[in-house]
Amino acid sequence: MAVAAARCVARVDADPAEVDASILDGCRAGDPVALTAFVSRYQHRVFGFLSRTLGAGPHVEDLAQEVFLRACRALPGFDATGSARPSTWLLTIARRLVIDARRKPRPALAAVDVDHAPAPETPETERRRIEIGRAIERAASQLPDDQRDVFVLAEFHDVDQREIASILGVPENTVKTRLFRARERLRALLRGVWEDM
Amino acid sequence: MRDPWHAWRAQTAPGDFVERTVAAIARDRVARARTRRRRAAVLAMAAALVIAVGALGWAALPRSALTPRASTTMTLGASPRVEAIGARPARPSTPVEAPPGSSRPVEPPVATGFPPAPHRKTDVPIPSSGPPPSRAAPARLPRCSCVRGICDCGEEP
Repeated sequence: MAVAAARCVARVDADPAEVDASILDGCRAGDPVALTAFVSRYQHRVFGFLSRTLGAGPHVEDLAQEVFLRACRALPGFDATGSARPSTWLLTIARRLVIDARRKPRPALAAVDVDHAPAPETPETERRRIEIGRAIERAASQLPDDQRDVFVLAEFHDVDQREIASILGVPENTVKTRLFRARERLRALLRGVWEDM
Repeated sequence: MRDPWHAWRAQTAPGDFVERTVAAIARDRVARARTRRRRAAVLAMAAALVIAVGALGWAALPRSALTPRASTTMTLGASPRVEAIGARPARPSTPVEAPPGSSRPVEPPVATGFPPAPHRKTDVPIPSSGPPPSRAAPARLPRCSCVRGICDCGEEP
C-alpha cells in the first residue's frame, strides 16, 4: 500500500503538467481548494480539445463543465497508480462527450473566436498567424471526425500514439494511419498557405 | 514560424469558469448524496414492508394449512387407508341407514372397552372400473372409537 502510494506520488510529481496525488485525494474528499487546483490545471487542455474537435462556441464551456463534473464523479474509481495520467483520463472523458455532442443535432452557432480577433494595433506577424490559424481551422473542419480527433490529440496535447489509442479505444496502428492521413489531407488543403510559412 | 499548427488557437476559458465549475461540482456532490440517502431510505422501507407482509401472512395462515391434509388423502382412493388392528370390526363401507318403516335409530358404535389399537397403513387397490358413486348416496358416517364411555366423535356411547 505504502509502496504503491509512493510510486503514485513519484509518478505524478515527475510530470509537472499533472496534479499531484494530494490534490487528487482532496478532490475525492470534495475539498474546494483541491478542486480549484484540479480545474485550473486542466481547464485549458479540456477547452482546447473541445473547441478544436467541435468548433468554438458557448457549447464548449458547457461541455467542459460537464467533463469536470463527470471526472469528479468518477474520481474515486480512478487508479492514480495505473498507466493513465490524469490528463489522459480527462481527455478520455472529454472524447466521450464529444461523441455524444456530435450525435445531437446542434443549431448553427456563430463562431466565438476571441483569440483570432485581431487587436486594433496588430503587428504583421500576428496578423499572419491569425490568418494561418483560421486556414488550419477551416481545413481541419473538412477532416473526418476520427482523423480530426487523432490530429488534435497528437499535435496539441502532447499525447503519444499509445495514449491516443487508449483514449480513442482503437489499436495503435489505426492511430498511426489516421494521423498520417490527417496530415496529408491538411497539407493538401493548406498548400497555398503552407508555402508561405 | 516554428510550429505552424499552433497558429490554430483554441477557445479559452472565461475568467470565472473555475469558480463556477467548483460550485457546480459541490452542488452535484450534495445532490448525489441526497439521492443516495433517499434511495437507501426507500430500499429500507421496501424491505421492512416485505418483511412485515411476510410476517402477517405467516401469522394469519391457519394451522391446518401447515399440516398434511389427511381427509383429502382418504378420499382419493389411491392413498393408503388407515385401519385399526385388533379393534372392533370396521364399519361397513355401505351407508348405514335406518329401514324405511322403522323408527329405531341407527345403532351407535359399540364401545370395546380397550384403548385404541395402533394403526397401520395398508394399500388399497385403485378401483379400475365400476360405476361412480351416486349423488343420491347418503353421507358416510365417520368412524367413531369409544373408550370407557368417551367417544372421539362426540357421540354418546
